[in-house]
Amino acid sequence: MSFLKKSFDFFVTILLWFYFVGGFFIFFIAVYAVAYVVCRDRETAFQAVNHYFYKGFFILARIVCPGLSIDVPEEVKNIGPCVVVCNHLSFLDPILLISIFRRNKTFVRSDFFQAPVFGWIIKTSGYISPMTNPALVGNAIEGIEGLEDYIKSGGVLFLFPEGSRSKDGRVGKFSKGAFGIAKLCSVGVTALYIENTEKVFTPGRFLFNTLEKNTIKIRVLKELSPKYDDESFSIKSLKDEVRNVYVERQGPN
Amino acid sequence: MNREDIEKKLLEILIEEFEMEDPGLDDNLREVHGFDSIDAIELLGHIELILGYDLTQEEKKLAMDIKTINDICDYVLNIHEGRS
Repeated sequence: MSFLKKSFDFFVTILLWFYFVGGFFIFFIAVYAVAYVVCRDRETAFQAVNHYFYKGFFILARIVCPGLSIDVPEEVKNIGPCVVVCNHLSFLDPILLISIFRRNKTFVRSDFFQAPVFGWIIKTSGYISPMTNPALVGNAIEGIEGLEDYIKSGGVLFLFPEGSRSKDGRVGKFSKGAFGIAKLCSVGVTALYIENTEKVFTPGRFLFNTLEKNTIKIRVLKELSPKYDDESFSIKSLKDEVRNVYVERQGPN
Repeated sequence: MNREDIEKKLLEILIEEFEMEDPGLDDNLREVHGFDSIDAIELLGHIELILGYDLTQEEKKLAMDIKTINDICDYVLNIHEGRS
Protein backbone atom coordinates (compact mmCIF):
# COMPACT_ATOMS: atom_id res chain seq x y z
CA MET A 1 0.00 0.00 0.00
CA SER A 2 2.78 2.35 0.97
CA PHE A 3 4.60 1.62 -2.29
CA LEU A 4 1.40 2.18 -4.26
CA LYS A 5 0.71 5.41 -2.40
CA LYS A 6 4.24 6.69 -3.01
CA SER A 7 4.00 5.73 -6.67
CA PHE A 8 0.72 7.58 -7.02
CA ASP A 9 2.13 10.61 -5.17
CA PHE A 10 5.12 10.53 -7.52
CA PHE A 11 2.96 10.29 -10.64
CA VAL A 12 0.71 13.16 -9.56
CA THR A 13 3.67 15.28 -8.50
CA ILE A 14 5.26 14.85 -11.93
CA LEU A 15 1.95 15.71 -13.56
CA LEU A 16 1.61 18.90 -11.51
CA TRP A 17 5.20 19.88 -12.20
CA PHE A 18 4.59 19.18 -15.86
CA TYR A 19 1.69 21.65 -15.77
CA PHE A 20 3.95 24.13 -14.02
CA VAL A 21 6.80 23.88 -16.48
CA GLY A 22 5.37 22.27 -19.62
CA GLY A 23 1.98 23.97 -19.50
CA PHE A 24 3.74 27.22 -19.02
CA PHE A 25 6.14 26.86 -21.95
CA ILE A 26 3.75 25.08 -24.29
CA PHE A 27 0.63 27.15 -23.78
CA PHE A 28 0.87 30.05 -21.39
CA ILE A 29 4.02 31.63 -22.77
CA ALA A 30 2.04 32.33 -25.93
CA VAL A 31 -0.71 33.93 -23.86
CA TYR A 32 1.84 36.15 -22.11
CA ALA A 33 3.34 37.09 -25.47
CA VAL A 34 -0.06 38.03 -26.90
CA ALA A 35 -0.92 40.01 -23.75
CA TYR A 36 2.41 41.81 -24.03
CA VAL A 37 1.80 42.81 -27.63
CA VAL A 38 -1.94 43.48 -27.56
CA CYS A 39 -2.72 44.90 -24.12
CA ARG A 40 -2.05 48.52 -23.29
CA ASP A 41 -2.07 47.79 -19.57
CA ARG A 42 0.45 44.96 -19.60
CA GLU A 43 0.75 44.84 -15.84
CA THR A 44 -2.95 44.11 -15.28
CA ALA A 45 -3.00 41.71 -18.21
CA PHE A 46 -0.03 39.73 -16.89
CA GLN A 47 -1.57 39.59 -13.43
CA ALA A 48 -4.72 38.15 -15.00
CA VAL A 49 -2.73 35.54 -16.94
CA ASN A 50 -0.88 34.59 -13.74
CA HIS A 51 -4.26 34.30 -12.02
CA TYR A 52 -5.64 31.92 -14.66
CA PHE A 53 -2.42 29.93 -14.86
CA TYR A 54 -2.49 29.20 -11.12
CA LYS A 55 -6.25 28.71 -11.12
CA GLY A 56 -5.62 26.02 -13.72
CA PHE A 57 -3.02 24.51 -11.43
CA PHE A 58 -5.48 24.14 -8.56
CA ILE A 59 -8.23 22.83 -10.83
CA LEU A 60 -5.79 20.17 -12.05
CA ALA A 61 -4.65 19.47 -8.47
CA ARG A 62 -8.25 18.84 -7.40
CA ILE A 63 -8.75 16.47 -10.33
CA VAL A 64 -5.61 14.42 -9.76
CA CYS A 65 -5.60 14.47 -5.94
CA PRO A 66 -8.70 12.49 -4.96
CA GLY A 67 -8.70 13.67 -1.33
CA LEU A 68 -8.14 17.35 -2.03
CA SER A 69 -10.77 20.04 -1.80
CA ILE A 70 -10.35 23.80 -1.63
CA ASP A 71 -12.72 25.96 0.36
CA VAL A 72 -12.60 29.64 -0.56
CA PRO A 73 -15.70 31.55 0.54
CA GLU A 74 -17.11 34.47 -1.43
CA GLU A 75 -16.06 36.96 1.24
CA VAL A 76 -12.43 36.09 0.45
CA LYS A 77 -12.92 36.33 -3.31
CA ASN A 78 -14.59 39.74 -2.91
CA ILE A 79 -11.93 41.35 -0.77
CA GLY A 80 -11.73 45.00 -1.72
CA PRO A 81 -8.83 47.36 -2.10
CA CYS A 82 -6.55 46.65 0.83
CA VAL A 83 -3.32 45.10 1.94
CA VAL A 84 -3.88 41.41 2.58
CA VAL A 85 -1.71 39.71 5.16
CA CYS A 86 -1.64 35.96 5.52
CA ASN A 87 0.02 33.20 7.49
CA HIS A 88 2.56 31.19 5.49
CA LEU A 89 2.70 27.40 5.59
CA SER A 90 3.73 26.15 2.16
CA PHE A 91 4.97 27.16 -1.29
CA LEU A 92 1.33 26.74 -2.34
CA ASP A 93 0.22 29.82 -0.36
CA PRO A 94 1.33 32.58 -2.75
CA ILE A 95 0.05 30.78 -5.83
CA LEU A 96 -3.24 30.04 -4.06
CA LEU A 97 -3.67 33.75 -3.40
CA ILE A 98 -2.82 34.60 -7.02
CA SER A 99 -5.42 32.04 -8.12
CA ILE A 100 -8.03 33.84 -5.98
CA PHE A 101 -7.28 37.49 -6.81
CA ARG A 102 -7.34 38.51 -10.45
CA ARG A 103 -5.52 41.74 -9.73
CA ASN A 104 -2.68 40.66 -7.53
CA LYS A 105 0.69 41.96 -6.46
CA THR A 106 3.23 40.85 -3.96
CA PHE A 107 6.90 41.03 -3.13
CA VAL A 108 9.01 38.37 -4.81
CA ARG A 109 12.52 37.19 -3.91
CA SER A 110 15.07 39.27 -5.77
CA ASP A 111 16.85 36.27 -7.37
CA PHE A 112 13.60 35.35 -9.16
CA PHE A 113 13.82 38.63 -11.07
CA GLN A 114 17.06 37.44 -12.64
CA ALA A 115 15.59 34.15 -13.87
CA PRO A 116 15.11 33.96 -17.65
CA VAL A 117 11.47 34.33 -18.81
CA PHE A 118 10.08 34.06 -15.26
CA GLY A 119 11.93 37.24 -14.26
CA TRP A 120 10.43 39.05 -17.25
CA ILE A 121 6.94 37.85 -16.28
CA ILE A 122 7.11 38.91 -12.65
CA LYS A 123 8.64 42.25 -13.62
CA THR A 124 5.94 42.92 -16.22
CA SER A 125 3.29 41.79 -13.71
CA GLY A 126 4.39 44.65 -11.46
CA TYR A 127 5.57 42.40 -8.67
CA ILE A 128 8.05 44.11 -6.40
CA SER A 129 11.54 43.05 -5.38
CA PRO A 130 12.92 43.64 -1.90
CA MET A 131 15.63 46.30 -1.69
CA THR A 132 18.34 43.80 -0.86
CA ASN A 133 19.59 43.66 -4.45
CA PRO A 134 21.16 46.98 -5.53
CA ALA A 135 20.34 46.23 -9.17
CA LEU A 136 16.62 46.14 -8.33
CA VAL A 137 16.37 49.12 -6.01
CA GLY A 138 14.80 51.19 -8.79
CA ASN A 139 12.15 48.53 -9.37
CA ALA A 140 11.42 48.40 -5.64
CA ILE A 141 11.09 52.17 -5.23
CA GLU A 142 8.84 52.55 -8.27
CA GLY A 143 6.83 49.52 -7.24
CA ILE A 144 6.21 50.72 -3.70
CA GLU A 145 5.44 54.27 -4.82
CA GLY A 146 2.88 52.95 -7.30
CA LEU A 147 1.07 50.81 -4.73
CA GLU A 148 -1.35 53.46 -3.50
CA ASP A 149 -2.84 54.00 -6.97
CA TYR A 150 -2.81 50.26 -7.64
CA ILE A 151 -4.62 49.31 -4.44
CA LYS A 152 -7.09 52.17 -4.57
CA SER A 153 -8.01 51.18 -8.12
CA GLY A 154 -9.07 47.75 -6.86
CA GLY A 155 -5.87 45.74 -6.72
CA VAL A 156 -4.87 43.46 -3.89
CA LEU A 157 -1.37 43.46 -2.44
CA PHE A 158 -0.74 40.34 -0.43
CA LEU A 159 2.13 39.80 1.95
CA PHE A 160 3.30 37.25 4.46
CA PRO A 161 4.36 39.26 7.50
CA GLU A 162 6.22 36.26 8.93
CA GLY A 163 8.54 36.53 5.92
CA SER A 164 9.07 32.82 5.48
CA ARG A 165 7.12 29.61 5.90
CA SER A 166 6.29 28.56 9.42
CA LYS A 167 8.43 25.58 10.48
CA ASP A 168 5.90 24.18 12.94
CA GLY A 169 2.62 25.71 11.81
CA ARG A 170 2.65 28.21 14.68
CA VAL A 171 2.46 31.88 13.88
CA GLY A 172 5.94 33.45 13.94
CA LYS A 173 7.32 36.92 14.49
CA PHE A 174 5.77 39.60 12.26
CA SER A 175 7.72 42.26 10.42
CA LYS A 176 6.05 45.64 10.15
CA GLY A 177 6.53 46.12 6.39
CA ALA A 178 2.99 45.17 5.36
CA PHE A 179 1.51 47.56 7.90
CA GLY A 180 3.89 50.33 6.84
CA ILE A 181 2.67 49.91 3.28
CA ALA A 182 -0.97 50.03 4.38
CA LYS A 183 -0.24 53.30 6.17
CA LEU A 184 1.78 54.65 3.25
CA CYS A 185 -1.15 53.92 0.93
CA SER A 186 -3.85 54.89 3.48
CA VAL A 187 -5.72 51.63 2.95
CA GLY A 188 -7.11 48.96 5.24
CA VAL A 189 -5.61 45.62 6.19
CA THR A 190 -7.35 42.27 5.82
CA ALA A 191 -5.96 39.30 7.72
CA LEU A 192 -6.43 35.94 5.98
CA TYR A 193 -5.85 32.54 7.49
CA ILE A 194 -4.78 29.62 5.34
CA GLU A 195 -5.08 26.05 6.61
CA ASN A 196 -3.71 22.74 5.36
CA THR A 197 -1.55 23.78 2.40
CA GLU A 198 1.39 22.34 4.32
CA LYS A 199 -0.40 19.00 4.46
CA VAL A 200 -0.80 18.93 0.68
CA PHE A 201 2.70 20.12 -0.18
CA THR A 202 4.84 19.77 2.91
CA PRO A 203 7.94 22.00 3.22
CA GLY A 204 11.10 20.02 2.56
CA ARG A 205 9.24 17.26 0.75
CA PHE A 206 9.27 16.80 -3.03
CA LEU A 207 6.07 14.78 -3.33
CA PHE A 208 2.53 16.09 -3.01
CA ASN A 209 0.31 14.24 -0.54
CA THR A 210 -2.30 13.17 -3.02
CA LEU A 211 -4.42 10.51 -1.39
CA GLU A 212 -5.00 11.87 2.09
CA LYS A 213 -8.21 13.76 2.67
CA ASN A 214 -7.29 17.43 2.91
CA THR A 215 -9.31 20.59 2.63
CA ILE A 216 -7.33 23.73 1.99
CA LYS A 217 -9.29 26.47 3.73
CA ILE A 218 -8.89 30.19 3.58
CA ARG A 219 -10.78 32.52 5.88
CA VAL A 220 -11.00 36.21 6.66
CA LEU A 221 -9.84 36.59 10.25
CA LYS A 222 -10.26 40.31 10.52
CA GLU A 223 -10.71 43.43 8.41
CA LEU A 224 -9.15 46.54 9.86
CA SER A 225 -9.55 50.16 8.82
CA PRO A 226 -6.91 51.90 10.94
CA LYS A 227 -7.18 55.63 11.54
CA TYR A 228 -3.72 56.59 10.36
CA ASP A 229 -4.25 60.28 11.14
CA ASP A 230 -5.19 59.58 14.72
CA GLU A 231 -2.48 60.66 17.15
CA SER A 232 -2.71 57.37 18.99
CA PHE A 233 -2.11 55.30 15.83
CA SER A 234 1.02 53.18 15.89
CA ILE A 235 2.32 50.72 13.31
CA LYS A 236 3.69 48.52 16.06
CA SER A 237 0.26 48.36 17.75
CA LEU A 238 -1.40 47.53 14.43
CA LYS A 239 1.16 44.80 13.77
CA ASP A 240 0.70 43.38 17.28
CA GLU A 241 -3.09 43.56 17.01
CA VAL A 242 -3.06 41.57 13.76
CA ARG A 243 -0.58 39.02 15.06
CA ASN A 244 -2.74 38.51 18.15
CA VAL A 245 -5.67 37.68 15.89
CA TYR A 246 -3.62 34.82 14.41
CA VAL A 247 -2.41 33.67 17.82
CA GLU A 248 -6.00 33.60 19.10
CA ARG A 249 -7.14 31.73 15.99
CA GLN A 250 -4.57 29.02 16.58
CA GLY A 251 -5.38 28.74 20.28
CA PRO A 252 -3.04 27.37 22.92
CA ASN A 253 -0.61 24.91 21.31
CA MET B 1 18.92 75.46 5.39
CA ASN B 2 21.86 74.21 7.45
CA ARG B 3 22.75 70.88 8.96
CA GLU B 4 21.26 71.74 12.36
CA ASP B 5 17.89 72.60 10.82
CA ILE B 6 17.86 69.35 8.87
CA GLU B 7 18.89 67.32 11.90
CA LYS B 8 16.15 68.91 14.04
CA LYS B 9 13.45 68.30 11.44
CA LEU B 10 14.58 64.73 10.83
CA LEU B 11 14.58 63.90 14.53
CA GLU B 12 11.04 65.28 14.84
CA ILE B 13 9.90 63.16 11.92
CA LEU B 14 11.63 60.00 13.09
CA ILE B 15 10.15 60.31 16.58
CA GLU B 16 6.63 61.36 15.58
CA GLU B 17 6.07 59.49 12.33
CA PHE B 18 8.34 56.47 12.74
CA GLU B 19 7.77 55.94 16.46
CA MET B 20 11.50 55.86 17.24
CA GLU B 21 12.41 56.15 20.88
CA ASP B 22 15.40 58.30 21.66
CA PRO B 23 17.15 57.92 18.29
CA GLY B 24 20.90 58.53 18.30
CA LEU B 25 22.58 60.25 15.36
CA ASP B 26 24.89 57.29 14.78
CA ASP B 27 22.44 54.49 15.59
CA ASN B 28 22.17 51.88 12.86
CA LEU B 29 18.54 52.60 12.00
CA ARG B 30 17.80 49.11 10.76
CA GLU B 31 19.37 47.25 13.64
CA VAL B 32 18.47 49.56 16.50
CA HIS B 33 15.09 50.91 15.39
CA GLY B 34 13.82 48.31 12.89
CA PHE B 35 13.83 50.87 10.09
CA ASP B 36 13.04 48.99 6.87
CA SER B 37 12.84 49.72 3.15
CA ILE B 38 9.17 50.74 3.40
CA ASP B 39 10.14 53.25 6.07
CA ALA B 40 12.89 54.50 3.75
CA ILE B 41 10.35 55.21 1.00
CA GLU B 42 8.07 56.99 3.45
CA LEU B 43 11.00 59.01 4.75
CA LEU B 44 11.84 60.09 1.20
CA GLY B 45 8.37 61.66 1.02
CA HIS B 46 9.18 63.66 4.17
CA ILE B 47 12.57 64.64 2.77
CA GLU B 48 10.85 65.96 -0.36
CA LEU B 49 8.68 68.12 1.90
CA ILE B 50 11.75 69.41 3.75
CA LEU B 51 13.50 70.22 0.47
CA GLY B 52 10.39 71.58 -1.21
CA TYR B 53 10.83 69.57 -4.40
CA ASP B 54 10.57 66.04 -5.74
CA LEU B 55 13.62 63.78 -5.74
CA THR B 56 14.72 62.05 -8.91
CA GLN B 57 14.81 58.25 -9.12
CA GLU B 58 18.62 58.39 -9.05
CA GLU B 59 18.57 60.49 -5.89
CA LYS B 60 16.10 58.08 -4.31
CA LYS B 61 18.32 55.12 -5.14
CA LEU B 62 21.21 56.80 -3.31
CA ALA B 63 19.06 56.96 -0.17
CA MET B 64 18.95 53.18 0.07
CA ASP B 65 22.56 53.10 1.32
CA ILE B 66 21.68 55.22 4.33
CA LYS B 67 22.31 53.63 7.70
CA THR B 68 22.27 56.40 10.30
CA ILE B 69 20.60 59.78 10.93
CA ASN B 70 23.94 61.43 10.23
CA ASP B 71 23.90 59.69 6.83
CA ILE B 72 20.41 61.10 6.18
CA CYS B 73 21.61 64.60 7.10
CA ASP B 74 24.56 64.23 4.68
CA TYR B 75 22.19 62.92 2.01
CA VAL B 76 19.76 65.83 2.36
CA LEU B 77 22.56 68.40 2.50
CA ASN B 78 24.27 66.95 -0.59
CA ILE B 79 21.08 67.10 -2.58
CA HIS B 80 20.24 70.58 -1.35
CA GLU B 81 23.72 71.89 -2.18
CA GLY B 82 23.85 70.03 -5.46
CA ARG B 83 20.59 71.55 -6.62
CA SER B 84 21.42 75.08 -5.47
